[in-house]
Amino acid sequence: MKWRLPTLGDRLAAVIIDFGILGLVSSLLLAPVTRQIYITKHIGDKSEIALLYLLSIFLFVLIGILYQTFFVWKQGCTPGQRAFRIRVVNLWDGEQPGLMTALTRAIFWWVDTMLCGFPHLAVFSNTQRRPMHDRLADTIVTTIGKQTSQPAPGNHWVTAGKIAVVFAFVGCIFVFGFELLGKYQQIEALESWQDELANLGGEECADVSDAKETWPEDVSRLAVAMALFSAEVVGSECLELEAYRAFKLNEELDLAYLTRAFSRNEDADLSDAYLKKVCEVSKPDNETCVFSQLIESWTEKNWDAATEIFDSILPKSRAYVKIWAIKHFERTKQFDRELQLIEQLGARRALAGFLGTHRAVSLWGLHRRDEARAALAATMENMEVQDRVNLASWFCYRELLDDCGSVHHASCSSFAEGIDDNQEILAQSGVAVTMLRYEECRPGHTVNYKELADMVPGDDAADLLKASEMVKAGKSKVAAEVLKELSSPERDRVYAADAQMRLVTILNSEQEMGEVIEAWKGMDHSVWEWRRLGRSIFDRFMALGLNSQAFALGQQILEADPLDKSLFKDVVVAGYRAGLKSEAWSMLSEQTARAPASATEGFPQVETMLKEEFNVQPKTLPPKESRDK
Amino acid sequence: MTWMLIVCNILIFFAFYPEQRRTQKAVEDFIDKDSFIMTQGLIFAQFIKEDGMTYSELMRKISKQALDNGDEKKVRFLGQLALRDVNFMKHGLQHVYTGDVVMIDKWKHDFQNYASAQEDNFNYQWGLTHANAHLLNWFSYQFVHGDIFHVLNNMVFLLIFGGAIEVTI
Repeated sequence: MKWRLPTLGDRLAAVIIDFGILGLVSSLLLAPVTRQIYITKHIGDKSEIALLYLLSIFLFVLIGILYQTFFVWKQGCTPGQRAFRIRVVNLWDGEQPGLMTALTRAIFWWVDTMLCGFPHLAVFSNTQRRPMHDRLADTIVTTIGKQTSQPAPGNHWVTAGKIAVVFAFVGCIFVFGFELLGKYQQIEALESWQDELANLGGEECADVSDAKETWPEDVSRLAVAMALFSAEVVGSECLELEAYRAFKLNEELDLAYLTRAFSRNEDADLSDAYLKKVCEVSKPDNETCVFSQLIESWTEKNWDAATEIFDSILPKSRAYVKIWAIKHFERTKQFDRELQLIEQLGARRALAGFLGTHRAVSLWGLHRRDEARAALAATMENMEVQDRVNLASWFCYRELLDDCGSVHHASCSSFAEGIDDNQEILAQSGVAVTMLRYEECRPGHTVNYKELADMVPGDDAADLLKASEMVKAGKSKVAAEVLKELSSPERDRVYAADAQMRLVTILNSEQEMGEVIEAWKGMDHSVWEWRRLGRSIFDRFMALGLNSQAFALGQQILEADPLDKSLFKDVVVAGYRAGLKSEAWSMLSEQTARAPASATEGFPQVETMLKEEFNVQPKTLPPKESRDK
Repeated sequence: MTWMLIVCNILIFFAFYPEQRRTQKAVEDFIDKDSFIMTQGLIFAQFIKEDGMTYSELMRKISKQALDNGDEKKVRFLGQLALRDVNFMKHGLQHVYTGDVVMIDKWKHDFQNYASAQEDNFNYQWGLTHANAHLLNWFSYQFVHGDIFHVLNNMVFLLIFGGAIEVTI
């Protein structure tokens, strides 16, 4: 019988379509096995995962056999073959195969395939193009289409060779792919085991364990974790771990709920629910319950109420309460109380960075500048670079505002060193304004505003640099416009504050300064920016000879910051120059104990003249040289 | 017949697509909430632990590891799996759980909202699940699809297989 044979291309295309359909069908039918593999991967049981993969391969082959059997039995061809007008028929009578024939053919087709497809190459070894599965089933693949294949001697080995290469290539990809998959699973399982090993100690936070070893009091892990979190030594993940442990052991539930109020504070309602729960599980006068009420005062910015609450719990409170109290006292400028608490907490090595930073800040707030500088130097030694640059920036900026000569102080040197390796930190406005002041204060150095503009990103920075450059070039009017615009509330707060201070230095009358003064009056009197801008305005009044305005303004600032000795002396001088001698003397006589003679220009002479005028025996002044020392 | 079924599927899909999207989004909003899934994971772990032999050894092993260590991966996995567990969806609210009472109360509130959203969900109403296996669902599920690609894939299948079977029959 002469058979019409399909082209090998058609047969291959039909196989590809059938595999596509099989892939879709089997992914659906094998979903439960896939799910089980996914679940088992979480246990990391390698043997079970391997068994499940074998099972899925077995089921895939079974589905394939059923697929081929059904279609070849029912319609003489699979859907892929049908698309290319290919038919499978009995060799002896040319009829459609029966069930057993179709089944036999399908089983051996898959056996050929599982042997990397090489037995399929036997299709080239005979003129009827019948590989093993067709021979065993006594079937042949024919076509009812127009295009047929005419097997000819001599060329089949070349074609066979080409297809063998393709199969080998595809086979290698499969083998390589499976090997990679196997390695990936091994790595995944290993990582999962390593995580589990880490987790044996991982239900505890390592930082808390280290801190607890040197903690002076015998307090719970959760209390230590809360202290470290409050001091920003650890993050909320550590706090969560310790809280989870506390809930699991049913220990210190009041503190556990309080910690969750902090660690879940992005959800305000949830945080409030936790705070409410603290008092439900503890007594009303318990430290945690009282502390939970403090948070409400903070939220409402009711600082006086917060201070009262701290006063009620501080004496016997744990470290975390004291740490929050330190932050509160710093916020409300109660620097002496802040310093006391810092001394109380001093023995905790884990809090050294936090305590050192706040010690330096509180000493600065108390105008004990030399001590603040020493504290700063000691703290910066052990800090990470970023933290060190931020802290140095904070101090350097304030030093430079007071006196450009401070550019040689340790804070500014440390700042400059840190910036060299961390220029990306200039994106922070606080650091950027420090950088500009530092560059301007460096003796014998011409500021390269263009270079700075490249280093410091943002429109606010660009405007500040532009204005500063214009001031240097004598274009004060245009600079003033830019600085006024930069001072508006919509702009970055730090750049706005710096712009206002610079603006004051280029305005030439009280009228011109009117807008800035009004803005200053409207500011929160408790913030440093208010005092510093006030000082800038005071200095400008003095420079312009507006002594009575300077005196009035200076007194306002001193009311908020009575410890500023330098300002005190300047205000007395202003009062004297304004002809307000009684007022100046009144200030001086009240402050005699706190205002020893110093090198403030004009003050010693003014002091002497006032004393003479108000009939106080003047001290005999030492020679000028020793006075100048 | 095959073509008729294909046309029916496509028409039904596009007719109910806006409603299906709206209700599906309500359900997905819960699934995407990490805090809900994580709390649910811990609660489901307790549920498995207390439910005796209803769950396989594998599941009991995972839940023990989740409870002992608070392992984030396992907790999240259980939290997602809980949404497909018929037993938990039916009885989960009735159990008494220990631990962070605030979180448990919040979870109960969210879970009830999720259950309501699921009841309203178009696919859940007309699809076929273990929990929803009425006679009508055995018929209606054939016309329920997740998205346009789902319906297209299925229609391609239907065309190939339906055509072949129709010819055979």
